[in-house]
Order: sequence, then C-alpha cells, then structure tokens
Amino acid sequence: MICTENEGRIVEVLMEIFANKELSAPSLGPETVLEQLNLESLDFAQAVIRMEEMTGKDPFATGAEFQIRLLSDLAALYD
Amino acid sequence: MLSQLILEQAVPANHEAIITSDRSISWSQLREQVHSMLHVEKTLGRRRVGLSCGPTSESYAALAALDKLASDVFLFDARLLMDDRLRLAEKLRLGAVVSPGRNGDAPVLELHELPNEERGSGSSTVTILTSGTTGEPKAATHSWDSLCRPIRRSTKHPAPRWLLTYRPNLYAGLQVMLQCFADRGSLVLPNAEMDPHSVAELMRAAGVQFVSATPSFWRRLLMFSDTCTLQKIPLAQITLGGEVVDQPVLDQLRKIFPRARLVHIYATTELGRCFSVSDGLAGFPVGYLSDVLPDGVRLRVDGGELLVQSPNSMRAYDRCSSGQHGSGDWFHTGDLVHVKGDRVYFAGRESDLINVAGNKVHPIEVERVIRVIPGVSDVRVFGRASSIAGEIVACEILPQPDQDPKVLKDTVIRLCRSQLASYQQPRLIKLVDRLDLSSAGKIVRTKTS
Repeated sequence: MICTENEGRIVEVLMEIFANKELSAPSLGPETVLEQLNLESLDFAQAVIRMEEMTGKDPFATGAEFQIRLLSDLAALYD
Repeated sequence: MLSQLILEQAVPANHEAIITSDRSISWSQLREQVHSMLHVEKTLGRRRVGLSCGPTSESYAALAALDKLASDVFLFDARLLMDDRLRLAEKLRLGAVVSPGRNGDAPVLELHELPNEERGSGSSTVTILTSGTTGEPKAATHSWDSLCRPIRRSTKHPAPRWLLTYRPNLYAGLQVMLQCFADRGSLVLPNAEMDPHSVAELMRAAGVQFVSATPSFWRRLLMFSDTCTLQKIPLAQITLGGEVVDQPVLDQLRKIFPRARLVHIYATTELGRCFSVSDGLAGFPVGYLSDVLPDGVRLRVDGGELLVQSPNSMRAYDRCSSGQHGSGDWFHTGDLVHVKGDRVYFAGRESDLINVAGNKVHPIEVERVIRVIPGVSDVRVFGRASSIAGEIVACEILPQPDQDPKVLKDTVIRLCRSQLASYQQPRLIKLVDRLDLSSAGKIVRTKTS
C-alpha cells in the first residue's frame, strides 16, 4: 500500500499522534482523506514539525496555499 | 567598599578568605594580593576598566584594588574569549581590560590598553553586563553603596562559610561575595566543571553554612548527590533566587535540611535586591503589595506584570551601552504575577510566553506539571516556531537515573493531557542527558525555530 518514503514517514508521524492521544489509529495509506481523521490543527502543526525534523523541509514555511486532500498530497510536498 | 571590607576589618590573619577544592587563601594572603594589584593597577585609577572576573582570589583582589583607585569597573565573564572581551571593551569605550591570574602563588595581571577611551566618572562604580538573551548585553552601573545596601551583618554566625554558586561577575555573585566578606567569612568556590556529587562533597568538607543558588541548582544537587553527604553539611541558611521558586523544591529542601532557614529572594541586576520570603512557601504575601518593604522597596502589579521601586537599584545603564531605562518611577520587571488568596505567585517572564495559535502559554505552568511526575528530574519548556500555529510547546526532560524512556514519555504525555489544555500540552518531547543552564544558573528558554 505504501509507495513512497515520505508517505511512510507521514503514516509513522500520524500513528504517533494517535497513540499519544490514546486513540486507536485508523488504517492509514496514501489514499487516506486527511480531513476524515478529525485531527486538531495543533496535531497537524505537530506533524509538520516532526516531518521537518525528518526531512529538513517545511513546505508550509513559504506561506503558500496548498490543496491537500489525501495523505499522498501532503507527502508529495516533501518530495 | 570592597577594598574596605577586605583591607580594613579586623580578622585573624590565618583565617581563610577563599577556599577551593585544592587550595585556600587566608585573609592576610588576600590582602597581600590586593596590595600587589594596587601596585600594578596604579595607572588605571579613575578610568573605565574591564575586569575579567572569575571565581578566583586574584579576581577579587583586582576588583578591590580598582575600587580603591576609584575606577569604573566593567565586569566580564572570565570565560569570554580575549577577542570578545576586547571587542566589547571597545564598544563600551573602556581604557583598558585586565585579566588577573597567577604564576605559581604570585598574582599576575595581563593588561590591554585601548584607544578611544571615554572619561571615567571619577567615583568608584561597578557595571554588570546583564545576560540578555539577544544581542549586546546591557550594562547596568551600580555604586558600591547600592551593591552593599542590602547586606545585613550577622552577629549570630561569626565568620560564616558561604558557597558561591553564581558567576562572580553577575549581581547575585557579587551579593554573595560582599555578604560573606562583610561578615569576615570564608568564600567556598566550586570548580565550574564539578558534578553535583563533588559539589556536595566540597560543601561537606569545607563545612559550608550558607548557600544561595537558583532552584535549578538545588534540584540538580538534590537529585544527583548522595543524601547522606548532603545531610552532613552544616547548613544554617538556604537561599533561592534568580528563577521562580516552586513549592516542591522548597518542600524537598525542608525535608533534607530541617534545621536550615529557608529564604527565597527577588532581585534583578537593575533593581538590586527587592525582597525576600522566609515562610517556606512559594510566592509572597499579598501584603507586600501595599507595604513599604525593607530598604524602602515598593511593589505594585499592573496588567499582570510586577512593577518595583527599589532604592537598591543601579545608578543607570552605562551611556555607551544599549540599555534604556524606561521613564517614570516604577521599573517594569517583565515578571508576570497572579494573586491567589493571600499570596502572589510568579508566572514566569513576559518574554518567555509561548503564543500557540493566539493562546498564551506560560512555560512555568507547564514545567510545574511535568516536574512533579515520577521519573522526571527537571524540565525546560519553550516555544518551537511552527508554520501552522505560530508556535507550539516543546520540552526537554532530564530523566531520573534508570528510567525507561518510552514509559516516561508516555506518562508525561498522559498526565499533561489530563491536566493541561490542548494548546498547553507539549507537542515535542525530548529526553536529554543534561539541561543547559545559563551563566546565571537559570534554565535557558531561548526559542528555537
């Protein structure tokens, strides 16, 4: 199911966030619709910082607006 | 004033003035060092002089000599590199920089003269370079009178032994040294690299009776040194200052040292010593806000910030430095407080507030929750820049020995979730081997991006 390295990283980071909240993690993959995960904006902020720690990149730092629906859309920003 | 304390008081000649782990200097030896410094510093009278000030008898001798010569002394941390000292000295338009040291047992002085010297004030002053977190330090000029006014001579403890935990070039370090020498005591100087166990051992061996230190210092000492050694230290008074003092650290100290007087002090470089609290409770009585306190200090709260009028204040920021004194009689401390019942509690520095998507988070409040979690030795909480939320809360935890990192982290996350609002919860948690303290012995809350 997982195709790219960055998709794998995002899955790992999201699993960690769910675990920290003691919520059972839904099954996650490139086709997961992010909005349906019911994440708080701070969870998303946390995920972006964790991704920056792993990849050295923060695509949101430029202030650009992105259309992100799927987990794969988010991962693509780090490719 | 320092020169009088060292040169003019009646003290038995062999009585120790300075004690380190490997040598001690008697009062008569310290006086000889002052005389020898007076000789080599004689060209520096009434001039602006930078003194590289480390925890050594030679530094105190050089400082006392410059006092006697009515010089304006600017205290530099002895750990600053020579190039940085000279750069700072040029900026402050000093006439010279002196670095005391020793050759065998003989005190020596390295002297660098500088061009572009500004005129001295003609009276003896001491300028402390504040440990500002950004940019150039501010240069707070005190008279020896304002430095010595908070000193209370003790008759109960003749020739007390004080441990110096603060940097000798900062306000708190000067206070400890002046208090000790005013009481004709002995100043015990730990080596900067000493681990907590060795510090406890030195305190025991030297019979230390008085210690003033930050809560961070005390926590580290309690956590990492042997309780049996600590209980053999004949402490008469424990003083805490420089950071917010919380109840758990006071309770722990009370338990280990039941006979010691427990005092916490509020002081800043600019305002000098403002007040102290000795009832063993965190915060201070709300009555302090309406009373005139010892030395004529007055307090009030404005918009959650503590404002102070203090006769122990500095004279001014040095004219060649960037510091600016706000107008008006009341000094804005930047320390946030809140009143609860009959007590006023500190909530940290305004500049340390973390802005999480528009919500203000006090690092102190988050630290208070984490610090009492079993397995946690100490913690620092700070803001981490976030492109999504502005900032999010991050923390570094110093675990107690033999903790399972995963279990500890999970416990911290769980307890923070049950006790803190979502925006207050640390989103990044790192376990670390050591928490760096600033040169003033305080937790560093510099924001990272």
